[in-house]
Amino acid sequence: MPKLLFAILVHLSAINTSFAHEFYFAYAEISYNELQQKLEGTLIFTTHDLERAIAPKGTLIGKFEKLDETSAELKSIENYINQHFQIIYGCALDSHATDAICVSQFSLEGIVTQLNGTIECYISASIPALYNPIQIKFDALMEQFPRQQNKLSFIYRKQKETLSFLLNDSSKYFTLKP
Amino acid sequence: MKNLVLALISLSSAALLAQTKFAQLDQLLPTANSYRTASGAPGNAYYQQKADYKMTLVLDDNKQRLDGTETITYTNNSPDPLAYLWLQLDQNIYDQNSETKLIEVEKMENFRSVADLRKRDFYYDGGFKIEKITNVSGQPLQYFINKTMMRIDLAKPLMPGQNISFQIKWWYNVNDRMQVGGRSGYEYFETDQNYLYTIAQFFPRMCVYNDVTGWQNKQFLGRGEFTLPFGDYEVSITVPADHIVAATGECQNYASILTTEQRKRYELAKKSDTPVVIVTQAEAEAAEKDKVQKTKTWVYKATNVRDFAFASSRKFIWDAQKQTVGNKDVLCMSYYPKEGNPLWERYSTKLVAHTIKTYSKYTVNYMYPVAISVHSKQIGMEYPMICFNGGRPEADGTYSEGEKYGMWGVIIHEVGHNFFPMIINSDERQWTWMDEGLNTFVQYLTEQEWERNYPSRRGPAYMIADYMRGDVSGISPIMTNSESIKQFGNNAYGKPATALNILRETVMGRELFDYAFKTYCERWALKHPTPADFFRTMEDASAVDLDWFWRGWFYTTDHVDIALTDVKWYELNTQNPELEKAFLQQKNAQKDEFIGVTRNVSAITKTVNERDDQIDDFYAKRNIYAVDALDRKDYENFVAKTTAEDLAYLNAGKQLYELTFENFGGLVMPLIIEATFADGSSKVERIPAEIWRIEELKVSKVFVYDQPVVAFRLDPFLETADTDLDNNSWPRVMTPTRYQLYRQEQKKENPMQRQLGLEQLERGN
Repeated sequence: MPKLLFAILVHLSAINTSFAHEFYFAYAEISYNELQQKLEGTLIFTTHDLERAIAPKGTLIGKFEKLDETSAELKSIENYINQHFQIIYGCALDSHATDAICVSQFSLEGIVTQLNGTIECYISASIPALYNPIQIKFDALMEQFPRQQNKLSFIYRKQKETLSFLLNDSSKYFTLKP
Repeated sequence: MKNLVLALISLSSAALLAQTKFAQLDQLLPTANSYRTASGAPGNAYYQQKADYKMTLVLDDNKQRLDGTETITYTNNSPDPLAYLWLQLDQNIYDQNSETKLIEVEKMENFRSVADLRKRDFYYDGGFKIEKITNVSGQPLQYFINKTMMRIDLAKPLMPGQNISFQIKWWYNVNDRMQVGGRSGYEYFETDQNYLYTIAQFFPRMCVYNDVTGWQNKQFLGRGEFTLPFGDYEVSITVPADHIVAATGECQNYASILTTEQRKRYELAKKSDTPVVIVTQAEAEAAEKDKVQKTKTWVYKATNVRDFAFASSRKFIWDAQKQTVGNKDVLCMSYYPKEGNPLWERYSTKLVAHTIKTYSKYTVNYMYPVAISVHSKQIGMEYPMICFNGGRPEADGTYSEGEKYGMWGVIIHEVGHNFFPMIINSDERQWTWMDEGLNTFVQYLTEQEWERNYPSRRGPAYMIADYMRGDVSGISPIMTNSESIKQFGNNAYGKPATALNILRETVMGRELFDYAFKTYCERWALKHPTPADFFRTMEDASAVDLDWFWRGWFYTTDHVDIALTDVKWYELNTQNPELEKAFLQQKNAQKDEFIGVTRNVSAITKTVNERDDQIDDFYAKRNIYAVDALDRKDYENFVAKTTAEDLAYLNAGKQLYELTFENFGGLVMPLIIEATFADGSSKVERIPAEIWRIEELKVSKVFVYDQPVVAFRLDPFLETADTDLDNNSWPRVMTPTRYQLYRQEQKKENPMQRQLGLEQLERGN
């Protein structure tokens, strides 16, 4: 029986279960740029949901709209994305044909908050070679909002495939087709 | 004979299977009857029950407790005798034994901190405490509580046309909305130690009994909202004397409640086209400090409403203006604490007025005397004539643009709910989309009339594509019971709103759609419609067979992905040898030449037949592109047999294109094709969805133009929710990804830095 190690927060969170919306939907559009050997893409969240997820006490509510490229909070967003949006793929190490499993490490290149309440996070990760099998974990916001559903469209060589992710099904396999 | 019957059955089954997307909805819809007709209108035997309430309420601001005594008069207009009555006890979802928390699916990952666990187990003594239920003579009535439902057993059945009155005495502890959550409750302001109450679902309410469900007594699990009969209300609300109360209906005793100055302002507001402040911020701030312990009683009356809600606080600022709808003036009002300013004093009441005016245009005239928006942090929730809305600026009074649009959107949406479901009273517990979806659709229209290019979150077709595309295992059809819907927001709000927008802009056109939609609203105003009544009315009033649309958009999780997969180009053969042989010669000359042939031109100085003139015979010497007398004779014969009109058409240089379309997503939709010509002009073709009525997966269509086409584009105005635009064009054009667009548009400075630069420039630095 494993023991759980929790962070101790003294006060009850100010978050409650009734928000003014019932969106609980995030979308990712990721493509592999073979020329630059990069995974590039966009993650779209409901802005306030992401603010709540990153700062459990809700201290960031309304803040993302004011962030600029130098804001420290961008690092929090990048960390959150890397924790909750991972591409685990077959890779070759040191230019040798060594089979290995690598995990994506995305850089957050920028964000744009839209007036309709969404935030677009632009990310990229250097990936010299991408091989099957590819496993995608996309559980962003699910710990805060159990009804959260995420979708991902993966674009590879002009072919697009869309996968969906739920709390009980937050990891999917994707096969690159030549 | 038996074999023949079997063969007939197989044939009809095959026919049914073959005709799936355009199969009529008859098997899915309830059989029309005298209560609800096949046209979608109420039938000649349509009835609805009536529930009138007289209530006396006391709000204890020290204990955050609400006590109530209510007398319900229930009129049985149905043709059925009723042995018992069912009432809703919505507060019981906060009862210790409530199943609402139990049915939540949980994983360990949901609990990452002690705070998460404490929140899960947060104890609050909620739920109704029913003290007694008696008849009007004071005799106790038998009752049984089943979680959020209560059955009152009648001594003898309530016969058709009869009514019964009975009294319930109850109380409950009001929930701390910021801790426990919920659509209603209180918010505590630590800075001035005051409370703001938004009170709803606060009294035992009659269930609906009708021809569709019998008693609609599905348990309240927290999501599927309310199904309520219409009735008249008389409610007295006792609160601290310095509280301002907002409630469903018209206040009957402002004379004894408001100061002389406030009454003057109120009278002024009733005639004003712009907001007039009735209780000022200074008055509210003074009340915040004084905290009077005496009480006052506000008396309200509301006629023909399905529910009653109120808000109360000494923090309230109050403003109002009139909005004329039809030949009546509606008093539009807002109540908000100072924490809502400056957003609320500037926008709330104007938004209320704009909303009821715009909705009245598209649905039915607003039929109540007041419309109220109350500021309530974070949530948005609706009741007859009154709604509770979020949108709070920061403590320093600033707010982001997103916060502003969020506040605008929630007020328009919640005030819009006065029409769906408060007036057009659908069964929310069964079908969320009937109020949220229709309301979100009209919300979109209202937002677009508030500000040009308003950044609406839902409505335009292209905005639903991400949700609908690809793997559909995590989504449900729109026609799913409220409690079982996956992806509630997109399913019950976004997708139906988009579907209606597509009907209006693309399938039916604005004129037909608006007439049919208004007809539905007029038919079912102050009544209880069902999905079938909506589907049938939209067809009945427009003469457009929409069964394929309802079937695809409301009963399946299919998505739109129609591809332009092939383009074939033809020109007409004029039969004129001068033209046609020259054309063939030109085509032959344009053929790609094999590299060996090119190199041999210089490598082989002379071939044998070039050196020896005895080699070439008839075949080698003939010119297949030369026009001879026989060719001319044939053409003369052809011309003699052809009419002048046909000849002119043949010689007009017509360009023929056969386009092939494939349906990858499942949903059939109209084909909107834009052809761009060599001279830069373009033409849009609109092909109705019925082109798919026989072949549902692949169709072709021929287009004839006067000049060559350089490009075709399918769905050029993003009106069908097509989820893959990459296969919509010829020649093929890949849509840039969002990331690529971002990289193209990326600016090195943020707007504030740009503003600083601008200011420096203006200062001459």
